[in-house]
Amino acid sequence: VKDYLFKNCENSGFCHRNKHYADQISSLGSEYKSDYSIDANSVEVISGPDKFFIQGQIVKVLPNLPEEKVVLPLKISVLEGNNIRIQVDEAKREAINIANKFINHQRYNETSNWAFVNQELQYVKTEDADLKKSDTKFSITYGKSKEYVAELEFYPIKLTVYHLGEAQVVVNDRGFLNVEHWRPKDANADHLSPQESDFNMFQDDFKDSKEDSLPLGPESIGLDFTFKNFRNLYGIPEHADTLNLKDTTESNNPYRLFNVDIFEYETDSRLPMYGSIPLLLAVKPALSVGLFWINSADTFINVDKSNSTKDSKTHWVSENGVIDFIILIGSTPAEINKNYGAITGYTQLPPLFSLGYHQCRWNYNDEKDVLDINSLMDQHQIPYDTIWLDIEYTDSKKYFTWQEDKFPDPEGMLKELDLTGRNLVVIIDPHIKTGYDVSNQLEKKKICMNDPSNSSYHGHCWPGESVWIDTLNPSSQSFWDSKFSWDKKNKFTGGESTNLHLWNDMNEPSVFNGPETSSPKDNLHYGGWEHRSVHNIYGLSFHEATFNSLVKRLDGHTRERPFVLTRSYFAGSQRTAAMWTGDNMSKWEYLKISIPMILTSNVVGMPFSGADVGGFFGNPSKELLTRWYQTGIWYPFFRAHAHIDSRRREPWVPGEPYTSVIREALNLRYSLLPVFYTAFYESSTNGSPIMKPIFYESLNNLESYSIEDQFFIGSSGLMVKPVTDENANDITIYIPDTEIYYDFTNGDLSKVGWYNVRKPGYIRKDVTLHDIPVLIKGGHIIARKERYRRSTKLMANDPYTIVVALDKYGHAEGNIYIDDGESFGYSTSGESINVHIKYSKDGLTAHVNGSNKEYINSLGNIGIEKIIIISPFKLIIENPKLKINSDWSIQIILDIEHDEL
Amino acid sequence: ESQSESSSESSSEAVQAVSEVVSEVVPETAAESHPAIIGVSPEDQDLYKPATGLNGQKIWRCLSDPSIVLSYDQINDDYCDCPDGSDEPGTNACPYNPERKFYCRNEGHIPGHIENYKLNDGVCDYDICCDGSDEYITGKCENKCPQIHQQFEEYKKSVNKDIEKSLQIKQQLIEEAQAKRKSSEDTLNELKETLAKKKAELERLKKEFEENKDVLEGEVAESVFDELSPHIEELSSSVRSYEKKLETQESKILHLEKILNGLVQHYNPNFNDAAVKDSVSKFQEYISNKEVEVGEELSETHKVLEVLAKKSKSISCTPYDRPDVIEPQTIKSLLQQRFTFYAQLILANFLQKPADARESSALFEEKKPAKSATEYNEEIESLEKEIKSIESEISIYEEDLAKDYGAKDILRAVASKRVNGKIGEYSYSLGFTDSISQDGVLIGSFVEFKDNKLIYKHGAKCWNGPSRSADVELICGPQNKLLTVSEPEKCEYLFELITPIVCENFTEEEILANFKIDYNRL
Repeated sequence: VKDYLFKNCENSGFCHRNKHYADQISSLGSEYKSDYSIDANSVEVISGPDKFFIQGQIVKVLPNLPEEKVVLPLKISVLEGNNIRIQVDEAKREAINIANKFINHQRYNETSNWAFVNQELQYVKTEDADLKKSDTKFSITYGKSKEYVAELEFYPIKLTVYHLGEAQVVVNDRGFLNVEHWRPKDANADHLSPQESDFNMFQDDFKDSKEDSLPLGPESIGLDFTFKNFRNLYGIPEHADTLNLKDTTESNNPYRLFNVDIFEYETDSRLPMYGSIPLLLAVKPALSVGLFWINSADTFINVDKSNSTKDSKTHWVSENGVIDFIILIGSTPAEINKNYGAITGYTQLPPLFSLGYHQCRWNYNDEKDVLDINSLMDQHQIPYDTIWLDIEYTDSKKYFTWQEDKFPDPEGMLKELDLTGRNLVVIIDPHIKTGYDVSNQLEKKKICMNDPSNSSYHGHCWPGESVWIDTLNPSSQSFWDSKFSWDKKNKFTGGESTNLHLWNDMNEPSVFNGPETSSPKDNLHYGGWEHRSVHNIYGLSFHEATFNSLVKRLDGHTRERPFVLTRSYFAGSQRTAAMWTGDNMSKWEYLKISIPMILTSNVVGMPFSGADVGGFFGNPSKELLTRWYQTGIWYPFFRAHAHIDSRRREPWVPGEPYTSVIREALNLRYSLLPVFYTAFYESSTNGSPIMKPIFYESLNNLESYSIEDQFFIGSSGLMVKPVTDENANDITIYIPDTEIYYDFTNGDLSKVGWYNVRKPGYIRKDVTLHDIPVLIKGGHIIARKERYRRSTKLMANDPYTIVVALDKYGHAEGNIYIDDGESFGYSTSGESINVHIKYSKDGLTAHVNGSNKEYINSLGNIGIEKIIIISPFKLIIENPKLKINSDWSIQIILDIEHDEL
Repeated sequence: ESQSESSSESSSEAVQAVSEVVSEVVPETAAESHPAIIGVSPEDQDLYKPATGLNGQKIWRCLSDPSIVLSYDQINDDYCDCPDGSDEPGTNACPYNPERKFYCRNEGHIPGHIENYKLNDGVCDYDICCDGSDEYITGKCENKCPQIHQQFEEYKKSVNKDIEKSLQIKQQLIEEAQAKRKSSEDTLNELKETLAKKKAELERLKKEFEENKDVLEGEVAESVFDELSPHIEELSSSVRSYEKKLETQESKILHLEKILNGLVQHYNPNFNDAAVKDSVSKFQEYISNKEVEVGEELSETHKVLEVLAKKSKSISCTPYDRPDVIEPQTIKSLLQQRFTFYAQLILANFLQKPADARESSALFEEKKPAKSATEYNEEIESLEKEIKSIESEISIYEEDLAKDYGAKDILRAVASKRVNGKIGEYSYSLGFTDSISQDGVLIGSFVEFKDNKLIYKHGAKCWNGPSRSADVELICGPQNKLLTVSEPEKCEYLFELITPIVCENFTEEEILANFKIDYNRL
C-alpha cells in the first residue's frame, strides 16, 4: 500500500485540530473551564401522539468575543428498543455570506435519510419515560422495567447513561466536545479559543488535497465517549485489523472511516478502506452498548484502552455535518444487533442462488470462455451458481454496452446459463465514460456529481475521462431504471433475462486523479451539499439505486429478488447489497485476516460479506488455494476472484489431490445451504450475524472475547476453525464452554468424536490437507441436503437429512426455513415454512409453521431421507419416509442417562 | 443399546409415483416376469430380477455385494442401500458412480446414459435424453427425439460430406508428404556417399603426408606475422576504442533505466494517466526482452583476433590494400563491418594460396614431395572442414526425418505453408512447423505435434509473465483456416485451426459426441 497517499490524523486538518484541542484540555485537567454549556431555561419537552423528545440549546462562548455566543440546538429522543438519540446542530448559518452561491451552507443532516430504513422512527411514549429536571441537570428514566437512566448535566456538559444505577456510557466525559462554528476567514483569530489550533482551517496542505477550496472553512465536530468497565470493543469497519478493536493512542494511528479505493492494502492497519459503518459495540458479560455515530463525512476514532481504569475511552471527530448519534443498550450484543437493525434495516433475504458458489475472474474473455467454464464445472462435478464478468466485457469500459466481437449474443449466453440454473453477474461502476449516450444523457439531465462551479465534474477512472452519476439526486433513479428496463430490445440486460445480476465496484467513489484516489471534497451533489458531507454514503446511494432498478425490472416475474454486490458501503447497505473485502492478496496473512474482517462486518449488521477466495493479487500456491476454499465455504458471500495478471485457478486447475479436496469443500457448502439460508432468514428478521464471533455464545467467558480465527454459523451450533497455516499438521480449537461439542470435521459424522471440557480451553486435533475442522455444539438440530446437484436451483426437490446433536441434558432443537428462494412470495403471500424440530425425552417432534396452505402443499414431494441423532452414541434413522411439509413425531428410547455424562 | 420406532404415517407415495411412471415410459421388456426397472437398459434388466426370500417375499441383492439383501421394493425407493449404488438406477439417491448411469431409451434416436445427479432436477438434458425421460418425476421435459434426431441426421450428413472432401485433400497431402520424405531420404543418402568419399580422400592425404614427413620437416614456413601484425594491432586498438564508446553508451542507458525503474516502482497505479501507464508497461516489456550480452560479444571479437594473429604466422605474405572505410551507423555494425573486412582480406589473400600452389605443383609431378607442408596442412584442414559441414548437414536431415510429423508424416506436406488470418483487432500468421506471430510479435516457434495439437514455445517475453507460447488445436475441415484465438492465461494463447491434416472417418459415437442441439429449432 502506498500509505503516504492517505491522510493520517497529523496531516488531516480537522483531525489534527481536534487532537490538539483534546490534548490541551487533557493537560489542563481540572483547571480547564469549558466554553460549552446547556442553557437550563431552554430545555423543554415536546410531546405529541407520535413524537416525544427533549429540546434545548447548547451555548458556546467565544473567549475573544465575549458579546458573541454560538447557539447549538440540541435534541434528545428516546426511541423504541432502548435507543437514545442525541442531535446537535448549529443555528445561524443562514446568514453566512459566502462567495459560492451553489453551496448549501447548512450543516449536513441527511445522513440518517440514507442510513435509516424508515424515517419515521418509533418514539417511546411519554408515559413510558420518567423525566426529571433541575437547574443543573435533566434526567430520563426509560426501559421496560425502567432500568436505564440518561442524565444530562448542564455544565460542564456531560451525558451519562446508567443501567441499574451503574454508569455505562459517559458522553463528553473528558470535555472534548467541539463544534467548529462558522466564521469569516479574516476574523478567524477572534473565533479561536486558547485551546484551539488553526491548522489547515481554510486550506489543505496535503499532497493531492491542496486544491480543496474549503469554502465553508472549519466545520468539524468532535466528542468523546467513555465506556465504563468495557475493555472489549468491536465494529467501525472497514479495516484490515483484529476483531477486538485496538488501542490507538500509542501508535497515534486512529481508526479512520473514509471510503477509499485502497490499492494493495496491508493487514494489521487502521487505514481507511472501501466502506464504513460507524457503529461501535462495547461488550461485557452482563451488558452491551452500541454507539451509532450518524455522520457520513471523513471521520477518525481514537480508542484509548491504555488508561489505568477498566474503561475504554474513545474520541470521535468528523470533518463536518451535525452531531447525531444513538446509544443502544441491551443485555447482549444480539440485542444491539436487533435494535440497530430496527433503525437501519435488516439484511435482505438474498436469492438462494447467491448463497451458492460464485466463480469470478478479471476477466472471462468472451462468450465461449464463459460457457466453457460453465460446462467445465459440470465435467469436474463442481457445483456452482454464478459466473461473473469484470470490466472487460464492455466496449471500451462504456457501461451498459457489450464488446460486440466477444459478446455478440448476451441473451443467448444468459439462456444457456439458465438451462442449469446458473446466473450471470456483470459489473457496472458509477463512473461513466464521457462522449457516449449514457454520459451525454447524464450531463443533459444534470444528474452528475458537479464541480464547485456546479457543472458536471470530469475525472479519470477505468474508461479514462468520466463523469459520475449523482445517485443522491432523486432524478437519478428513474434514469437508472431505464437502463435496466424489462425490454426485449434491452441488449445490456440480455433482453428479458431473469438471471442477470449486478456488481457495483469503484463506488467509494474511486477517482484515479482525485485526492486520496477519490472525489475532490468540494465537489457538489444534489441539494448543494459538498462531497465532503456525503462522501461515505455515496457508495450506498449508488448500490441502492441499482437494487431498486433491479427490483422494478424483475417485478412480476418468476425471479424477483435481485442480487447486488458492492465494494463501498455504509450503515444501511445491508438492506440492498452484499459486500466483499476488496482487493486482497494471495498470501496466507490475507486468508487469516479475512475472518476477523468478515466477523466485524457481521457484528455491525452487514452479514452478507465475503473475501476473494484465492486472493485477488498474485498466484496462490495450490495449498493456499485449497485452504482458502475450505475457509471460503463459510463466508456468507462465497466468491473466488482473481486479478487479470494472475494465472487461471478454477477448481480443476491445481489438479489432484487439490481438486478433489476443493470439490469436497464445495459439496460441504452446498449440503449446508439449508443452514445458511435459515441463518439468513433469521438475520433478515433480527440482524443476527451469519458468521458469528465465539463470544456471542459465551458472554460470561472473557477469554473468548478476542477469539477471531474461529466462529459459529448463525444459530446452528456449527463451530468452525478453518486451517489458515501453511503445512499445518494440527490445529487447536477453543472450546468456549462446558457444553458437549461433537466432531463434525468435513461434515462427516461417521465417527462420533466429542469433547466435553470441565472448563473452557483449547483442544488439539490432527489435520491433513483434506480437513476442515468443524464441531457442532450439543443442543442443536440442523438440516442438510447431501446430494450433489449442478446448482442450488436444481436441489429444490432433493430430500433433507436431519442432524440432531443432543446437549448434556439430552435436548436439542433447531429451525429450517424454506421458501422458493427467488420470489418475494415469502413476504407478500406467506409462501414459506419454518420447520421447528425439537428433541426431548418424549422423542423427536417436527412442527411446520406456515400460513399459506397452497404453498405448504406444494412442498409435498420433498422428503426427509435420514435422521442422524448424535449423542456420545450415534443413531441413524434411515429412510423414515417423512415429508418436510408435515408435522411428525418419533418416539426414541435411549438407554443412556444423559445427565450422567 | 438403542431402539427406534417410527410413528409417522408410513406411506409409499414416492414408490407408487415411480411405478406409475414406469408403466408409462418404459414398457415391459422381454423378461415378462417383472416390470422393467426404470433407468436400467434392456440388456441389464435381467440383473434386476427378483428372487424369493425365506418367507416367500420378493428380495433382491446388491450387484457388487450379494451379501446385502434388500426387499424388492427397495429398488428405486429414493434411498441408497447398496454401497455400489446399484439399488437406485432410477434416482439420485446414491452417490454418482460413472459405471451406473441412467438409461434413456430415446426411441427414434440413439439411446443415452445420463449421470444420476441430472435426474429430476428440472433440467431437460436433451443432449443425453432426447425423450425427456430423465425428468420422469418432474415431468418437465417432453419427448423431443424426432426433432433432435432429424437435427442429428442433418448434422451427420454435413459432417460426412465435409469429411469426405477433407479426406481427399488429406490423401493428397499424405502423398506430398511421402514424396518430400523420399526426397529428403535421397539427399541424405547422397550426402552419406559423398561423406564416405571425402573421408577416404582425407585418409589418403594424411597417409601421403605421413610418408613424406621427413622431407617436409626441412621446410620452414615463411611467417607473415611481422608484416600483418601492425594491421592487426590497429584493428585491436580500434575495437578497443569502440568498446570504450560502447561502455559510455551502456552507462548512459543504465542511468536512464535507473530513472525509469524509479518511475515503475513509485508511480501511483491508481492515477490512471494513460501515458504513464503505457510507458511503464512498455518499459517493463523492454526490460524483460533486453539482452545484456554486448560485453561477451566483444570478448568473442578479441578471441577471434588472437586466433587471426596466430594463424597469420603460418601464412605467406602478399601485399594488400586498405579498404576505404565507410562510416557505419552503429558501433556494433561498424565492428562487424571492420571485422568482416579484415577477415575476408586475410582469407582472400592468404587462404587461396595453397590452391595456387597445388596447381603449380601439378606441373612438376616428378618433384617430390608434390606439396609443401603448409599445403598439406591447408588441404587436410579444408577437407576436415568440408567433412564436418557434410556431417552437420546429414544430422540436420536425420533429425528432420526422425521428427514426429504425425501419422504418415503429414505435417511435411504443409511444413512450408503459412496460414494468415485476422481475428479481432490482430493479424496472425502461422507456419505449421515454423512459428506463429501476432502483428509481427513472435508468439512461439514450433516445438511439437501432439494429440492433434501444434505446440509453439519460446516467443517474445511478456512483462510479468512467461515467454509467449501457444497451443493450436486442430479441427478437421477441408481448408486451412484460423478459427479462434483466446488467451486463457496471460501470454499463453490457444488457437483453433481448421485443417484437413487431422481428418479421420468419424464413428457414429464420435459424431454424436460433437453434435450440439440447436435449441432454437426445438
